[in-house]
Amino acid sequence: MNIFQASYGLDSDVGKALLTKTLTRYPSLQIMEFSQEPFAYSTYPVKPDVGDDDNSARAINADAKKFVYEPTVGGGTQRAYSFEYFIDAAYLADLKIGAITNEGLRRQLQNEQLRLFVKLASDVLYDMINGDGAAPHILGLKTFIKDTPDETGQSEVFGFTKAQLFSSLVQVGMTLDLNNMTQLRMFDELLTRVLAEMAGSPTLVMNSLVFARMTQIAKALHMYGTTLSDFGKPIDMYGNYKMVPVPLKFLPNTETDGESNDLNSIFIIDYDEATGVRYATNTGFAFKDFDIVSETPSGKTRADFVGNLKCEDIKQIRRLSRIKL
Amino acid sequence: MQEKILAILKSLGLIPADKEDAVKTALAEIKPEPTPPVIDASKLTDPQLKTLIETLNATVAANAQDLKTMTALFAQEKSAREAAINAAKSADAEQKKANAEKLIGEALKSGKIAEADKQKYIDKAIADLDGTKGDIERFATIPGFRPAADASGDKGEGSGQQTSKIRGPLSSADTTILGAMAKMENSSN
Repeated sequence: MNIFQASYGLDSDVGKALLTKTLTRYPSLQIMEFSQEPFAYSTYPVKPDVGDDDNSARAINADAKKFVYEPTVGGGTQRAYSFEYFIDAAYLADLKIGAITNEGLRRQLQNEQLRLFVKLASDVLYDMINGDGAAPHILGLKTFIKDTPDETGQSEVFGFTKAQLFSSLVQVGMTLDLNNMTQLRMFDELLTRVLAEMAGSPTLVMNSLVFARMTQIAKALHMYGTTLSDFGKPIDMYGNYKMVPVPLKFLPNTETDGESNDLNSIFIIDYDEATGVRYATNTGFAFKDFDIVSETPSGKTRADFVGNLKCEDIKQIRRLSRIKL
Repeated sequence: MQEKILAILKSLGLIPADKEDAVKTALAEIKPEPTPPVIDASKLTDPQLKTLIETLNATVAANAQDLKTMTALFAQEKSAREAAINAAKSADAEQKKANAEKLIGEALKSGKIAEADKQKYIDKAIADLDGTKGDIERFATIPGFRPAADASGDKGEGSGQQTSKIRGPLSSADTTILGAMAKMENSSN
């Protein structure tokens, strides 16, 4: 389900407008998938964990290869992000003497609500990429699949081994120079090869600089297209794959290979509520508006997000690192 | 019995005054159906025949009881089914009325029909909900219609056009996204 379907408390016009403004600012949220799960949620890798050595072919009358149900493997908790906003009665007293109007106050509060809601989304999105996974932060994509020279630098998580996590890292080591078509075709070939090995229909998540370059590459290679998100907004496509930008602040162009310090990553993610990468949540972006008493807002307003990364199959995510523009 | 029949015929006005005696006479001549002779087994001397007759008499008595029970059960079942049919008819009527009132309520809120025509369209919707719905969808909004404010102070329910209902900084929220949200809400209801 998308972020709107996963969220509660958005049945008011104000709640919907707040999420709409947020989705406009951060279009990557339009593409992500969420699954409604308890706060203490399952993080099992796909079970049974069938490997390449597990062959189903068997001799007649021989036993079948057995896999065992392991319900206690894995499990984690979601992370909580919240803002609350109060109005002191002293300010409400201004209404009584006519120093401010109900309508003026409501508009002023909407401004504050919007700022808080967008900041909450910004914090969540930042951690979705950069979070170290330790409470109270979401496990970010960059922490999930680290850009390390070998598998020893990876950190086992969700039941995946270091080797499995390292296998999801593709160190590109190319410069995406629009004046070098040979290089661009090589990159396209690499990208096609990676995508062909993945499950589902992945989305390419990248910072705004890489997004701008990838859009140009897609056009140069006649791979450019558009589609619509669940929310009816245009999404750029590289071939059959969606491309979504995130702000440079969230995914900086400052990664390093030991020589250059201006490298980038592209995360290729198969978002899917049931089998793909998604965010387990029991709130979505929850919103509680002010109470309204005789047209005057009173009490407090609140915005929450509770959730965390979930990935059961390592084939559903890849990190292309060390990309130079 | 004959007196009762006579009274019923009289109450229904089926007997002219000058024919009453003739009818009475005719009724008196009606003989009841001859009841099958009951053999008194105690008067039989042949022990085998006596046993047979006693068995047959017992069977006849049991059958008569069964018949009585079955008749009562049939009457009970008939009564229950009639009650169920009536209840279903009543529930159907109530559902039709509720659907009609909901449809017309929404039409009133959206300014498609006037308050004065409310009952007329409710009756019409009870008779033909889909047809009335189709008619209302084609209606233009009544000129000068203004939606009523709801309890929260916000005007109207969420829809693709709701940004116009929010004043202030949130009124510029993207209508395409809001419309998509409204569709998602409707499809999940």
